[in-house]
Formats: sequence, C-alpha cells, structure tokens
Amino acid sequence: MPESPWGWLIISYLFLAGAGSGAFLAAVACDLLAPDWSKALARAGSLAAGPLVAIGTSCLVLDLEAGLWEPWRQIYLVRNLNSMISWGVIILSLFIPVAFLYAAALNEITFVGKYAKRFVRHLEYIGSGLAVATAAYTGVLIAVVNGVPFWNTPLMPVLFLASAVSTGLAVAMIGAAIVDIKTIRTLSNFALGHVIFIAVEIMVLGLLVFMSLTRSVEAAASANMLISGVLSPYFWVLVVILGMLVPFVLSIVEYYEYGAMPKYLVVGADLLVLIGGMSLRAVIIFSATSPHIV
Amino acid sequence: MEEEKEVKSPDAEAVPEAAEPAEQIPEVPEKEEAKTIAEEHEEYVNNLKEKRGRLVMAGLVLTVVLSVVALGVAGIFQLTQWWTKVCPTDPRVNIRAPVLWNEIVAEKVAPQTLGVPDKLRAETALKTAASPTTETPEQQEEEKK
Repeated sequence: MPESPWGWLIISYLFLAGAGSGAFLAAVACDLLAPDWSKALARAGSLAAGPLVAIGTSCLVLDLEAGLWEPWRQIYLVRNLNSMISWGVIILSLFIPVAFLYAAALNEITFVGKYAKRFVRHLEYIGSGLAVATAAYTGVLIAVVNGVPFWNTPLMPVLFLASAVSTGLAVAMIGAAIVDIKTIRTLSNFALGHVIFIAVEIMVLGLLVFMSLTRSVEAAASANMLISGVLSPYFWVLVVILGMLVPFVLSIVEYYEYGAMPKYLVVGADLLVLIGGMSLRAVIIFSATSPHIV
Repeated sequence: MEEEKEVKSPDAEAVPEAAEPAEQIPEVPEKEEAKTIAEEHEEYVNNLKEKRGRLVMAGLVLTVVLSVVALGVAGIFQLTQWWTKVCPTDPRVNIRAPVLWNEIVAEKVAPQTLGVPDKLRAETALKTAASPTTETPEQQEEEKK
C-alpha cells in the first residue's frame, strides 16, 4: 500500500460523516416528500445521522493529535474564517446537535423530543442545509490541498456529495429494514434514488479520473495508480464493480420488481453501496502518494 | 304465495323507510374497510411510537454495521497489501561502466584560460600601438590638403 500522510482515521471520518449527513437528507426527504411510503425510513435515517457524524468527527479529532492532547487549542480553529477548516469546524459543531435534536423530535424521545416536535419542520430545513454542507465539506477538506493535484479539483466535493447521499440512503434503508421488515416492500420506491445518485457518482468519478490524466504529471500518476497501478484491484473490484455497478443494476431491478425481490438482495445492495463508499474514500486518499515514492 | 305476500306487504308499506337503510348498508362496510386498511397501514408502517426501544436499538445496530463496514474495508486493504507490493528487482550490474566508457572515449578539451586568447591580445596590442592618436575632423582635412 502506498504510504500516505492521511490514514484510516481520516478515511473513516470522510465515510461516517458522509453517510450520516446523507442519512439525514434521506430522512428529511422521506418525511417531507413521501410521508405515506415509509415512516420507518425517516425514523431510522434520523436516528443514524447524529451518532455517525459524531463518531466521524471523533476520528478527525483523534487524527489531529494536538487537538486530542490539548483540546482547548481547538478554539483557534474557528478564528481564521478564511480557512475552510474553520468553516468545517463550525458546520460540524452546528450539525451534530441539530441531528440529535431532529432524531429526538421525530421519534419523540425524552421530554426534549416532545418539546422539539413543535419545531420539527424548522429542524428539517436548517438541518438539510447543514447536512449538505457537511457532506460537501468532506470533499472540500481534501480538494483544498494544493500539494496534491489529483485532489485539487472542484469535482471532488461533487463526488463526495453524491456518494454521501447514496451511502446515507443505504444507511436509512438498512435501518428501516431493521426497524420493521414489513416496510421493505415500500423501500422499492427509494431504489430510484440509488439509481440516480449512483449514476451521478459514476459520471463524476469518470470525469475526475479522465481529466486528471491530462491535467498534470502528478495528477496523471495518481489516476494511473487507480486505473492500472497498485490500487487498481481495489478501485475496479471494490469501488466500481461491487460499490457501483452491482447496486446500480440491483436497484433498477428492485424498482421495477417492486417488492418482489428477495429481502437479502435489497439489504445486500445497500451493504455493497456502503462498502463501495468506504473503498472510494480509501483509494482517493491513498492515490495521493507522491509519484516519486511509488 | 301467502308468505310472499306477507313478505312483500311490509316491504311495500315501508318502501320509503326501507330504502334508506338499504342504501346505507353497503356504505357502512366500505367505511369500515377503509378504516381498517388505513389503521393497518398506520400500525404496520407508520405507527412506530410503541417501538421506541427498537428504534434506538436500530440506531445502535446501524452504527455497528457502519463500523463493521469501515473496519472490514480497512482489513481488506491491510490484508491484501502484501499482494500489491511491487517486487524488488535486481540492481543493474556495471551500471557505471557505460558512463566511464563515455568519459574515456569522449573528446578531450584542453583547459582554457578565461578572457581574450593570447594571440588575439598580441595582435590587438600591436594595432593599438600603430594607430595614430585621436585627431579632430579639422586636423584630418588639413592633412588631406
């Protein structure tokens, strides 16, 4: 494996924060646009969002060792508003409590949830904006690194946003199946979401790779690592085939079969989306290794 | 026939009264069925308030699933990295030989001193000594005359 200054903690943050914010968006979309289809999906998505983003942010703090051992120094993170890191800290600090409050409100957990239920629509609107910002920030965090030409492109936040929504929808669908297995028939309605967002993901990833091949020597070296280099087995097997193409086909079948597809295939497609999302972040982080080292 | 009459007669007498319940009878079951379907839908799909413990458990299970996925992918990468290692190749033997040979064969250039070559300097010095001193154009015209 190529050596990389950023390791598994950052990759876990990118994955968990993306999936959590995507689950929040899926829950809000379900509650606002299709409340009759499946309340279980909205409830499961809302419950997963807060803990996932909180755990992901913990991974980020663990990676920043200075912030881990001297946490009071983290206040300096919000002083420089010209830095994207500062904005990330602000966004995460706002989104996590809103996500927990929304889960409490939607599911009427504790007296806080019962009180917050009055403002559930406000929480949905504010939280959706913060969720989009959180998902996009996972891409912005690595897109602002000028030293890695492969990362330094506006396509990166778009790719991470599409992947976040896709993985978030998968989280919410698995959660809905855990809450109430009878609702799995109605989950076929949401398979169309998987089809759309995986298609967007495939297009943006293709653009990123092929534009990198002609952009600069370093970016081309990183792209070559994915296509035919040391990371190619992971890229083609875990990301492209298992993480994108198979769930894409299964989602199309699920949508047209409408509930007739076996349950293990429905949940299996969602699990594959999650594996693909994690692998995508891993190969992108590891592909940033300097070509001289490779 | 008597029974028919007996049956018909009360119907005929109470036609306006019987018509109302006859119209209402089919409506009542439809409403009930509609209610039961809606209730069932509410119970099976939407009404999860009673399953709050299960909801919280679902959130925990989801977090565990995501963690397992993350750890699983990391494990796949770590375990299979042995296969992706680039095999070391033998260092090229006599790698210096071509370089040394080129150095031997290359055309030798004698070290040269900086500045103007000695020969050119000598010629220039002679010309400078032979050349007249600076004259004004008027003096040059007088010499010509």
